[in-house]
Amino acid sequence: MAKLSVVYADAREFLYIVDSISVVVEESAFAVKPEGMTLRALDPSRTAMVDLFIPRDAFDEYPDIGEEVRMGVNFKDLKKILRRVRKGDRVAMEIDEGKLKVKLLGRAVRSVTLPIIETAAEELPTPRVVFTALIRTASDVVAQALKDADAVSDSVKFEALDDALYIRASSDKGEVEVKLDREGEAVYEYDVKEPASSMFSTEYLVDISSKASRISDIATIELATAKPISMSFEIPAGGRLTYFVAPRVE
Amino acid sequence: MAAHPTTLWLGRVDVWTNTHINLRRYMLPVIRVEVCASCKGYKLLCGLPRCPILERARFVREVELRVGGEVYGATPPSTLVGEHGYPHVRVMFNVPPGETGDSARIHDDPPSWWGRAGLEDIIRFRATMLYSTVRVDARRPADLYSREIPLAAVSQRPTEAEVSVARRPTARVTFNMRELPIGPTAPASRVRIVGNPRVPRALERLIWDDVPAGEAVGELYARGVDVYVIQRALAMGLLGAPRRRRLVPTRWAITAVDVMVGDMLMRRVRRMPWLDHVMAGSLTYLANEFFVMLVPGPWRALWVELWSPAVFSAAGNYITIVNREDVRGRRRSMDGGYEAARLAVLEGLAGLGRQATAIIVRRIRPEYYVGVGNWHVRETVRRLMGGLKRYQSVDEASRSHELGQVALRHLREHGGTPLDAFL
Repeated sequence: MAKLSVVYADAREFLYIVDSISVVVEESAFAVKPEGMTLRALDPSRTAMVDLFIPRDAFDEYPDIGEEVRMGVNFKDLKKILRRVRKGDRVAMEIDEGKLKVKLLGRAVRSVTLPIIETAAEELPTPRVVFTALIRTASDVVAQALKDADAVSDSVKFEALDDALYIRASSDKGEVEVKLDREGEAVYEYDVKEPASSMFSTEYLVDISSKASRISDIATIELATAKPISMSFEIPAGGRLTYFVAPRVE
Repeated sequence: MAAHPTTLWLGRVDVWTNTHINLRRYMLPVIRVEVCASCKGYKLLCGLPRCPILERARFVREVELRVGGEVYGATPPSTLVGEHGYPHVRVMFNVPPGETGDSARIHDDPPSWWGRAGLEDIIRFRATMLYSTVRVDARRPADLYSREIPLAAVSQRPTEAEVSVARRPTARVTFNMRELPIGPTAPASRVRIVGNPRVPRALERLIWDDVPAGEAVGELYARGVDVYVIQRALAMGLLGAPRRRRLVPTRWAITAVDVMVGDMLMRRVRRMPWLDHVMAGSLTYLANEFFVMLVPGPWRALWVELWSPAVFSAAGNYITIVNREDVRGRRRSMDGGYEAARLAVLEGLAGLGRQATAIIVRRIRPEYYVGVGNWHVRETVRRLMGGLKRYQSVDEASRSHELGQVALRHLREHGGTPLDAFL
């Protein structure tokens, strides 16, 4: 197979994306498709899904290909390399003769070759949920609220009412309530067709929100009663990183 | 120390038995001084089945009578590194006065105690040794090497030694679950190892080698060295890159070894296929009941510990402590009991060649009135894992065991539904 190369303009941002994906999976494959790069994977317990899409326009260089090519990687290993990026570096990923070459393009070209991980090419659909509430808000506010909740409990309740979104947690250690008023300054869009309330494990949500809030200042939360939550972050250069987490039975 | 009447002093009380009750701010159970003062070991006002002070005091007396200025005996081996005052710690080198060979060995030998020794036996084994103490800087383990104490600590058979004590031993009885019941202690003026310690070959090599402690622990375990030997080797500062070696307080070392070995097994287990049916079993030893259920799924664990109200206080329900480990190995809290049980469960799973989600329930009945260390958690769960039975479903497995209902309740509370239902 011919050499294939994608170049992303901001290596640090790419690190943040990889770091955010690794909250959910240790290994998975980027799919390089004609319209852009995607990654969709479930965690081992199948309670959380990550869904990445970066359109081809967001890349500095993108190959003209007819069909998709998969790049299986171990995110821990990839993170180790990307962690050493310098400001202003670009990152290139190349597939050549069955190896994945990661290049940090800065004042020098630093390249590291990784083995390509074979991953099962499971075609996953995204959850089919009719969401009844949508809240666009500041991502760091969500991250903070979830950390607060995690301090007292390992489950957290999202309740979207007509006036505000409540993030609550309680246990014998105490109670936490974070209120995001629909008129509040950190709420950019508030659309509740029908009040929604669901309970989730903090297991993934805390890490998802704190890591992904470095990619985007804005988080879009979508909810429906007793249905998975969708939490989505827009990538500045284009594209989005979306997570789904299954609800917990109350 | 002369016998004198009960006095109250800074939360401590000297009872006529020449012992102290040490009231620490530790976790319970701590028996209130006033209770002991009015009970004097006779009325059992504390609600325990026996008076721990008298129980221990009896054995302690025996040892005291046998101890002159010099003691000859074989360490089983039994050594402790204290944590108080770290890095200036006390190392205890323990010998049963006048005993050698197999009769010495029984004083500290958890694997062979299991199922045979009762709580009182274990207290007696421990309390009838002389605990000679040496003050050492934990950052300079080499100071100990020269006294040969570390080698005797990791020997596979009892090692004879002469211990000279600087003063008459004193006994301390503590009333809390976290402290091991130990015998009389005395500062050692001299410890001379007389016998030849027999050190496992794999360990002998690592002592002289330059291998990081984490790797060394993994290698020793893989070569079949007993975890109790590994624990003592780590505590005595025999492992690690030579310049970075430290003495490690025994309690920390025990859990550190459980975590290191457990994590190593977990990395293997996580690559194994899922178990394809529910398995469960239960087993009791030392008034500690255990129930383990393995459910098809990725490796992760839920630990539920139920403390009988009588162990802690006079009234109330069982006190529940829950710990969880998620699919990526992150624990909600670091709990030595959980880590000991986890090691045993992971050993079992590695043996089966399967990964599974584990639910472990431990119920502590009031008869367990003094903590004797977490070795029995590890040993009981190891044996339990050898006798697991297959079940059709989680419900069936839970119904078949007394503690199954507890497991089921917590499982419902903590379990999530997979996303698959929505795909």
